[in-house]
Amino acid sequence: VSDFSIHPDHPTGAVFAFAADDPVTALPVLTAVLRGTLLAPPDEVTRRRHLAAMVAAHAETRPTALAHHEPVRPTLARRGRRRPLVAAGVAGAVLLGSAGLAAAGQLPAPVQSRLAAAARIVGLTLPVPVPDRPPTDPSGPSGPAAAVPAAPQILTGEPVAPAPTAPPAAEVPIPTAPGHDGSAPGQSGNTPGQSGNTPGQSGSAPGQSGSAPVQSGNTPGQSGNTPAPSGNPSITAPGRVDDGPAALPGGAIGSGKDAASGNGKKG
Amino acid sequence: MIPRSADSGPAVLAPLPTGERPAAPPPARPPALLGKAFAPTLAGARTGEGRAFARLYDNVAPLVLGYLRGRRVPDPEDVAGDVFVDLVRGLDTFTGDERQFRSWLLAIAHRRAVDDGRRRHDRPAVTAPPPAAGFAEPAADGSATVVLSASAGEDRAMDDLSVLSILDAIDGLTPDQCAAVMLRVVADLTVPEVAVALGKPPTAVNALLRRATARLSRSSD
Repeated sequence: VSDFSIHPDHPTGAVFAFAADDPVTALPVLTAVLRGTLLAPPDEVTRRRHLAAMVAAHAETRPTALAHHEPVRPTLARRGRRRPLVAAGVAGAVLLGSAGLAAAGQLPAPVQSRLAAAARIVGLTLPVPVPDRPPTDPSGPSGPAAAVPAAPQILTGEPVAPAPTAPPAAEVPIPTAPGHDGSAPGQSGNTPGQSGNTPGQSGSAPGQSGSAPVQSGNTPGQSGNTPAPSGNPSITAPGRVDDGPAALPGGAIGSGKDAASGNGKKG
Repeated sequence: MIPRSADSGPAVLAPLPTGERPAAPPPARPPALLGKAFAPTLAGARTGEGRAFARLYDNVAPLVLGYLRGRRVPDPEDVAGDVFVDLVRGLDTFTGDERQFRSWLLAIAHRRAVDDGRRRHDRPAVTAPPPAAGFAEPAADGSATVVLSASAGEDRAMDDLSVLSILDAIDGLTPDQCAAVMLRVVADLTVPEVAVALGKPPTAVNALLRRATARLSRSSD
């Protein structure tokens, strides 16, 4: 039994090691020398340095131990958790604002009409914008109907039937509820801006008075006489009536007989 | 690096026996177990108590440093600091008694020593000083030269020579054999505990110890 040692801690139950193979028992001198030389404790400086490193490592691995000493600052994770809440709040505010504007009919016409159509599907009633009216003719109808502003038409479950004949403009009562007077608002039976005649037409084409303008029967710039050709204008002296070919002094034009007889040696 | 004290000169020499030299020096024992005080000390260390850290450190630091010195780690104090930092970080995961705690701690030291050896593998070889036999005098090229204590007497010189011969014999072992011997002799771990620390089966540890003992015996003859 003394030749080997038993290690009952081993999972197999026991590990046998012969004493001759164990350096502790086989080499007592070596064991004593090694233990005496290697097991020296660290110096005080090294000891303090190691202990400080251990404390720092403990504080690093367990930061919650110092959490109550430090003010809590929002971390990135907390900020990340707040972002959905902020986004939801902004979206809710935008939705409520848009719904309020849509209920009041203050949204732009295309948006308002689309929202009204969408709300109609779910049973809500939103005002539908009326298209802009054409410019009122100064000679058009006057009276209460013209003074009543265009009221938005309310979409209901039933389509509004257009009035077959609109009452006279003077008899149009002021609607108690906009658009519920049985007639299309702003209509006086006539096409707005038309007084029976086509505007700007007086039976004749504009700018025509029945005769061709600026025509006096003569061609402009012509006095009836064809300008006489001047023959050779280079030899026509200014201020002279061009009666014909001028007789050059001392020259002979025509027959020499006439010239000798006319301008000859008479004096 | 061998620890130096402020008042004992350039080197700290182990208290080897002087005068009448016995055939075998009285066996030095590793630090005693804390026993019943281990559990509250471990619990206090888990909560970050400074006294618990100090008590635990004082009890196991010689084992860690002795193992690292025996493995010829060039800077055992620095590596030991990393070991104790790993110890604190892993305190919550440890379960077991005091002997298992020592085995677990020396397993950390073994891994740290292996990592340190790999890190220095491609670097210029640094001659590690023999523990307690002198101190390392750093040279200009980064190497270290062992300088024996000049104040030691003749007996101390004889002891130094015996230590050097033993360390030379240790150098002849393979790394696994050296680690097994150091854990068995210096840290006083049992074979199963050495097996746990080295991550090897106990039968392999037995084989390592058997071959190491035979080789050391031949060297001492």
